Amino acid sequence: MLRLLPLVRPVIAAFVGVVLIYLVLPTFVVLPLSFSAQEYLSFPPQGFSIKWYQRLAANPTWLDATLNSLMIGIPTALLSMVLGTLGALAVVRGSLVRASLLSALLVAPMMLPHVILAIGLYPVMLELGLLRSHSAAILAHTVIGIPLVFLTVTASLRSYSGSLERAAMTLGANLWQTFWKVTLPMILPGVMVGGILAFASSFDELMLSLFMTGATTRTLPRLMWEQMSDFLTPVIAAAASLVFAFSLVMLGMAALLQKRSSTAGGGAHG
Amino acid sequence: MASRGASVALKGLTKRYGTVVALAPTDLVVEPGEFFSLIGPSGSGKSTLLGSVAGFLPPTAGRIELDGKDVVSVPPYQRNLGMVFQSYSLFPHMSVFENVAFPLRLRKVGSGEIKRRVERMLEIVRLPQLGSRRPEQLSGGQQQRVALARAAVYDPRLLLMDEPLGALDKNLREEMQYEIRQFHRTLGATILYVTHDQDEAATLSDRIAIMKDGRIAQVGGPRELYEKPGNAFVAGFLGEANLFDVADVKANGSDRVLITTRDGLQLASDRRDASLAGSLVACIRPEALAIQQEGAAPQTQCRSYIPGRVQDVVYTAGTVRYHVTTVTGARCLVKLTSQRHLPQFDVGQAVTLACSSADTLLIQKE
Repeated sequence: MLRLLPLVRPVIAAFVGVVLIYLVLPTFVVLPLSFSAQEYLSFPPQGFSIKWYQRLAANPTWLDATLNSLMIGIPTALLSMVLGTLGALAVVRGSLVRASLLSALLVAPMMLPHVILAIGLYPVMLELGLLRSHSAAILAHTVIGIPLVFLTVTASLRSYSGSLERAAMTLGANLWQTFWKVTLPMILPGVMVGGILAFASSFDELMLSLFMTGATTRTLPRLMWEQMSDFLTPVIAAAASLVFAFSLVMLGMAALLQKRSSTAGGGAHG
Repeated sequence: MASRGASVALKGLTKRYGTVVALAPTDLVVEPGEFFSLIGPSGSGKSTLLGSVAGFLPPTAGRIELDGKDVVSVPPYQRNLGMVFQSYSLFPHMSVFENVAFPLRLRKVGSGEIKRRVERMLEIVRLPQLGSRRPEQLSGGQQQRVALARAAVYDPRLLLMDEPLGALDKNLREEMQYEIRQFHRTLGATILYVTHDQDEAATLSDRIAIMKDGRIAQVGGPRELYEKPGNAFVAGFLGEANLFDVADVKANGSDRVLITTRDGLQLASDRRDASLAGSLVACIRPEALAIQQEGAAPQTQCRSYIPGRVQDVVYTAGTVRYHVTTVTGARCLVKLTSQRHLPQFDVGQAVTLACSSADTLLIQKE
């Protein structure tokens, strides 16, 4: 077996390379498409031009949709951070009898098809008169944002013993002080990463946005989807490329935060 | 200095989880400035008792009095006691200095005063240069010394320690035992200390409570517990003991009794407690036994003789241990200080074990 190793390693490396290409290549296809000189989406693209980016910038519909996405994504992230963190605290540090059941319920929206969620939320929002408002989308996206924050904060809380909080209390910190001075600095990277993931999931989300938003509140994915069925020009590829770049930046931030928290044991505090 | 410690009195302290009794109604008084240890196997209730005093485990019934005041309804952060944990529990996002300053900042102490007190405390635990370090840059022993400093910097009159040396290796543990002794002498606070290490408890403590099944089996000084164990569990838990089930006890003169063990050995014991009742055991410590060749002349001070055969001989630094099987089939341990002039016995050799009646203890089985 040991003598085989020099042979086995390059084979494994090649296999891993193929899988990685399979995973990321479809995403990268939009990049060359967006620089195409042709009037319609085709692969491989012919020529080179940046006119699709210019046309994207010139059309206020795209800017409006971007603003809508941010106005929905940022509150979604904040709301998910608060609720997901509270849930994680209850499950990991609380003395609940049914902690595992609660944990399963909190994660469930991640497994559920968004279309089911959308069908369920639609009449509720209609009844509340929130349909086609930003609030409707925020509430819907928070449902799928909470599990993301819950999972990252749960991991943060499990990475250190609850005796830190007990120590703080014997030293004179009340529950509120214990949370702000000990718990939060310890879990902050987890909360931030969860918040970024919640924002990203809202920013990418189509199904719930289709049901919840209207003409004035439509998000970027919804606009792209509508344009796809109507025009199918490389403008969509240009928009997708920008969304892709933006997501990449956020992913990088999340990875950086995670790396920092694992090397510094929490360190987000001077 | 000792007067700075708080007194602790537990009155009928009880903790039940449903029908499971973690702590049976317990009474205990710890004197101001005393170093008091709780030892016992896991699940014996020692950590439950400590957790109740700290305020993490609300008791089912009973009172916890610190300096005569009941604190059962007082939350942990208002009990003003210090606690040291097995896992150190230093805040990783703060420097060593900030860790020790943490309780002072909560108490709104001025920054000049904080600096003075933290530096003094770090000197007491002999880490004066390490204030700017992060906890993760310190060794386990250093981290626990920082934890000691942090738990004591606000002059709590009671310090709780939950197996503070449990995570350290043996050599470091002995060094830290010395540190903790010095620390106790310097501060004068009352210390309530939980450990499962009987040697550690004996080294550190003024008094020890041995716990079993949610009850205190016996309270006493280390010497008292070793020399006058109240029952077979205490005798076996603190040090080693040869225990023989007693079948019959007869008076033998005015100050001695003759014991017949269940397997038929005859032992002489000084008459002890008249209150002994129920099942009894005879207890002989391994170092109280002398070993001699079979048929050798009786020794003047010895009145109990046990014939047997050497099963095994183990030499460890400074000590010889003979494992002897008696003629009645019981196993007996003899521990001698290794000395050149002592005769040596080989495996299989017939020997006689001898013991004075003063060292043959007649104690309660339960």
